[in-house]
Amino acid sequence: MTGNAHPADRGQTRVPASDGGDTTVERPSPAAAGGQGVHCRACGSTLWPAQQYGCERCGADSTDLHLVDLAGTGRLLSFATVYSHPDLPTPYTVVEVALDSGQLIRGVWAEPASPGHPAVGIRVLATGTGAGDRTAFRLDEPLR
Amino acid sequence: MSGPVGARDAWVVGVGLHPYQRASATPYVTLGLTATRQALQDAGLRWPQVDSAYIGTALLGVAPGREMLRFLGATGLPISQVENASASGSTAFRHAVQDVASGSCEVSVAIGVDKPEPARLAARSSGVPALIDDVVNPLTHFALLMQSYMAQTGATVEQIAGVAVKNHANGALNPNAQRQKARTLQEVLAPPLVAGHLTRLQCTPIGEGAAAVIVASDDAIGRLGVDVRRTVRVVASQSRSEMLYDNENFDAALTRTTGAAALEQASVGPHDLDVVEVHDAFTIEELLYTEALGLAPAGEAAHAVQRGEFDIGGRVAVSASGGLLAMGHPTGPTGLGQVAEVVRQLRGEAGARQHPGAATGLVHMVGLGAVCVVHVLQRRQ
Repeated sequence: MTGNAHPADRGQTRVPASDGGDTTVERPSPAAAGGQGVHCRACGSTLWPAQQYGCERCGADSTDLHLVDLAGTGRLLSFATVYSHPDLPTPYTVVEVALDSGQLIRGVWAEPASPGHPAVGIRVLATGTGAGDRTAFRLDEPLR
Repeated sequence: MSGPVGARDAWVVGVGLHPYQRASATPYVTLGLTATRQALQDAGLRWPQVDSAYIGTALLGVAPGREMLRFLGATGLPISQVENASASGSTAFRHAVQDVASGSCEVSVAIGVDKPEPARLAARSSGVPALIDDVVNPLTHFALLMQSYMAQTGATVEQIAGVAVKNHANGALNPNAQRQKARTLQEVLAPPLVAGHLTRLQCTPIGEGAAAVIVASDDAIGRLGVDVRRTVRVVASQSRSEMLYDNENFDAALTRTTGAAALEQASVGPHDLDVVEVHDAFTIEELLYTEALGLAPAGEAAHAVQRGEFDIGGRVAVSASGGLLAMGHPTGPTGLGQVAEVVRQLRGEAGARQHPGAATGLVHMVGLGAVCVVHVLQRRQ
């Protein structure tokens, strides 16, 4: 679980797994970790998450949609540590991030939460996808 | 249109409730029949005089309606289930109002009934990747909104918890509430935390219960001998779904849009509202929605609560029933329980919870999706 997680400087991230266990994975590139979005040729919007059903802004079908990498960096808008969950090990911390490419996405905080970290307004870096392919974020600067 | 919500006026003529409570062995049929019989008695109507029925329910399973209503006498009336997540009851009410306002029915009933069964969310099988939906349940979603609200407005944890203190005090006066105990700020803030700054008493209890609301036309009121002085006019019925808001919080934006449409339809402004019930499943929600409805300037709702402006007897009574925080949120019944509260307030029959001079009220629910349903009700002039 993120609450007693791993040293981020080892390039690994650990998040709660759906089966209740922990999984440690290698960190992929930030762009891929920030997730993919879908760009619409008809209206020009780029939205998250990636899908091929149709454009949520203009309704164009899949012939106008193509997948794009979203920014792996952004600004933290909010966070919440979860202390109790019916199916998952706790605590873990969820963050809401405005990516530099414009999309609002949520992920898990890849570091132990501590007073002042995370905090609203800080710059964050997508660090990879962990168990269940959840997007994870950490401070966008060397930790220590 | 000659009435505000359709070709003709629609009036609430009867309301009934089964108290909201923790999950028990009581069958849903008992819950629903109790509320429906009470609403019939309140209206002075008999079941054969009801032309259509809408069952607001999200958790009971397929086709619960006739299995319950046949025990009022199998009159053959049309019965439909309405599922719209937390807004199921509000949406059932909207269908009943439209049946009457359109002229297709003279008397229609909306009945909300649910027991806290596990729900299967369609979004989980939509095929759209939602990588962290499992870690972001509603509790976490609103804990995130609370943190960003605090950062944006400077509101404190104590001010936000004040919503729960107010609503638990109201719930203590409501015999139909699941939580009927007044709580101090210290009790509301007592550990443990469940998510973010939210404590258990700042989160709605999900239990069971039922609520029924009967809607009738002017013709039916005259023909069936309904006490016209106790009828309450439906002056707005609006429902909207989420759009793209460029990263603005969708709950607040959707409420603002739907609320503005309802106030326009009712030809009233926010300052005209005397009693308001909002979807306060979490303390932060009452602040977001009262601001979105124009009851307080942006970022000011926490101060309004602290100054007592939303108390019974204050500027506008918000969640006089106890709200979802204290009255509870059995899902299907919730929106109809709000209507029952506002109807009693507008009739002057709310007893210890009576807000003096209540003439105009608004009820608001949001549901997963997201959807939003808002109605405005008015005392007969």
